Parts: sequence; structure tokens; C-alpha cells
Amino acid sequence: MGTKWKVEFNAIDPKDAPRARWKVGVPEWLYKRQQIHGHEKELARLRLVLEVLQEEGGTKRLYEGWSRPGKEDCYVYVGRPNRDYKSLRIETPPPPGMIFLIFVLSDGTIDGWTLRKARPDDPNGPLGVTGKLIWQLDQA
Amino acid sequence: MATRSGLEKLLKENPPAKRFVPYCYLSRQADELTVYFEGEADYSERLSDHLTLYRSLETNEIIGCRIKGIDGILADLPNFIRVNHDGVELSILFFAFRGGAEGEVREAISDLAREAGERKMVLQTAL
Repeated sequence: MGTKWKVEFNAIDPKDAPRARWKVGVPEWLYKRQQIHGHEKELARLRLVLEVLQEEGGTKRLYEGWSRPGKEDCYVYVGRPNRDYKSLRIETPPPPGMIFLIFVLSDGTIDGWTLRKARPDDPNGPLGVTGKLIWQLDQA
Repeated sequence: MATRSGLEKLLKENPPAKRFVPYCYLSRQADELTVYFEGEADYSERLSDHLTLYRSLETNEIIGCRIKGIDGILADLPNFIRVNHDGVELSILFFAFRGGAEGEVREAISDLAREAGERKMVLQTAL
């Protein structure tokens, strides 16, 4: 796609949310790692990454900091897609009570994506994410 | 910027291998070690500042993990063990990491070490 990344997304810019956008992407080596090891559901879930980062209302929350020293300038995007993927061809309903997280380094490199249980009293609040909440959809 | 059709094209032209093969990799930039024993649909559970487990959505069994802040452990390893040209046995890394852990975290790390040992998994890294 002509960038330093294998696939690039246009996400909300944490430094000027939600007005500005910035480019984030999956590095070539990470895609390749999952490809050669046959980690199909990880690649299939790139569709959820696209949905959460780019589609209208896809990003529900944006946190700054990964809750560990030295990673205060990294980000977590939170979304609630209405589906999941077991493989490229098998789409399933989203697991109840879970939300989708995308971990992004300070230079925009996507480090990973995962489903995580939401807090019982906060459907958009992921368990184990204690960074600084810098933006959420219902405040926009 | 990716489009739905562009992403589908990418996935079609760069498909995953037909069979899942367990793997581990080190991200120096993120200072993390990621391990997957199984490739089924999963979710993550953060157990501590340094350990996140990947569990099967279907069975809830541990199928992988992510260990953060791994650089210090890797840097110290040559002082304690002999590292051969094939890399570091993953089970050794888990035991090194288990040192200060307690309770649920310690138990999870022991499970991970056993699983890695049974599968003879090796982390390829330049120490």
C-alpha cells in the first residue's frame, strides 16, 4: 500500500481527538509472523481493526499509556464491533461482555489487537487498562 | 489508508499458512515477548503489570501470553545459563520470569513454562 506498514489505517489522532486523524499501521514483520505461522484468526481480526479505527463511531474510547513504565506515550483504542472471526471465512457474534482493543506505539505502529472483558459496570471500559482516558465517544 | 476492499485484497493475496504452528517472538520496540501455543479465537486477560494471558474463547484454557519488560530478563540470562546457537528455551525464560511472582501469576507462569517445555519452543534472539 506504499507505506512503511503492511496495512495502514486512518485513526483518531490522540493529540487532537476527535478532530484530527493520524496514520497508524501494522508492520510488515508482524503480518508476516502471523501469516507464516498460520494464525488465521489474528489476520481475520484485521477487519475489526479497520472497523474500530476508521468507521464512524468505531472508536469508543482512547487511552494514553499502557500502564507500565516507559510506555506512557503509547495508546489503546477501544471499540465494540458487532462480530468476531474464528478464521477468514468464519464470522461469529461478538463474545458477550467483551470489547476490542488495539495497542499502538507512539510512532503509530500497531503492536497488537485483542478482545478483552469489559468492566461489569462500564461496557466500554476494558479490564486491566489503567492508562489516562483522553477521549470517549459520548463526550464528543 | 486501508479500505474494506483493499484489506480483503491484501488478505487474499497474502493468506495465512494452512496449518497453525506455535510461535513466540520478541518485540524490542514494545519490550514484549508474545507466545501462542494454539491459534483458536481468544481473548486476553491482564494478570499483572508484566503478564497478560491469552485464553481460548471456547474453553477458557491458556493458549498463549504476552510478557512485558522482557529486556532486563534477556540481558541477565547469559549470566546464569548457557545459550546455544538455537536460541533460548522458552521454558527457561518463563522460570526466570517466575522468580518474584506470587499466587495466581506464579501458577500461570508455571503452566506456561510446562507447555513451552513440552512443545520444545525456542526463542530466537541475539543475546
